[in-house]
Amino acid sequence: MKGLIGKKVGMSQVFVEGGNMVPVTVIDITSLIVVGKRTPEKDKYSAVTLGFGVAKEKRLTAAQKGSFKKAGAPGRKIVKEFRMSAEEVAKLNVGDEVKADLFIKGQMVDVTGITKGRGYQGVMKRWSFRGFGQTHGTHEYRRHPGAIGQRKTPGRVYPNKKLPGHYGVEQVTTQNLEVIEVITEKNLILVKGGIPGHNEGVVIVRPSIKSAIRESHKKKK
Amino acid sequence: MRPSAIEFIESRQLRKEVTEFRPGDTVRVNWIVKEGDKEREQAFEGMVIRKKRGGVASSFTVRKMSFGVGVERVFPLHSPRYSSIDVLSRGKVNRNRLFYLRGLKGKSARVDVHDENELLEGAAPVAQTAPAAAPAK
Repeated sequence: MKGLIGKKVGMSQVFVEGGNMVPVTVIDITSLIVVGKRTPEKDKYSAVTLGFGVAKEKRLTAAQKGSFKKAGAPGRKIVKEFRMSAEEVAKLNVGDEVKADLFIKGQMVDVTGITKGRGYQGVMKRWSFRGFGQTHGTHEYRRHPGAIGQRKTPGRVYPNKKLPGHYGVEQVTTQNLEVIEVITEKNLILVKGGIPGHNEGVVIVRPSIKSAIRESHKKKK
Repeated sequence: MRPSAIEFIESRQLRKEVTEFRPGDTVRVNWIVKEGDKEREQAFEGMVIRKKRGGVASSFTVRKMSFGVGVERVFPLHSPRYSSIDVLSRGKVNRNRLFYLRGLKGKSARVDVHDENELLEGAAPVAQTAPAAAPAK
């Protein structure tokens, strides 16, 4: 399988072998189940649909209710599709719980989440601009962006110019995080370091693409 | 309130028995050093100048004078990397963080010995159980 949906519980520290302490983020995948399958015969591609977060029936739309009923799975708040081979899909059943042992200790993963909202921010926070000197006569221009364009040519500001604006609440993937521990019976995954978003936020854990590419290079040799 | 999942992860890592000591006490930390595939113990002896509380992240700082140079080392209180902590003497101090010792040398850098010390003499290192850290299950 190619990924999991979970909840960011929060951060902690654990002692690893050798006695060193590492910072970890705890991801909880309780309530993650298979809610649907895509097969080559029917959909022209194969994938598995996972659902996370127990949803009250009255909170679901009629369309959602219908699709869960048709698949024969209980309602879930968040539904995501993960591509995988047809043989693997065939092994799974709708309604099956997904266990944390999909990932193993030491494996590299990418974690996707929605970052914390920071509101309307200036260029120094939003784009890491350097700003201006705090002294030597700087007058009301300490955190400004500076010049934003040229002269009569082109006479306009280029699109995507880095300027102040709303920052945060965007999808971000943190790549190459090591899985420190997998606690299957508690449905917990511990990854090294921080991941995007606030506690209780929904995150997606996938095998790291960078390490997958590296592996494929090794095989070629 | 902290999430129970984090509570569980942290509580199972706490050392069951933590020697009780306070800032001002002189202690010997028997740290396990790995050299290649061999393990040996290396003692670090000095005065505790700080104890930081924080569950599994608790730590303490030990300061000693080594060839006239002050050396400080921070140890995680729940680290599996030390075999034991021996309390050599109890100090009587009026504050929790003894950073003022850093600026002092020789006679003035001493700390009064606590009356409890007589109890310690000749006796094995005081090993008192820390507040129950029962694994949450």
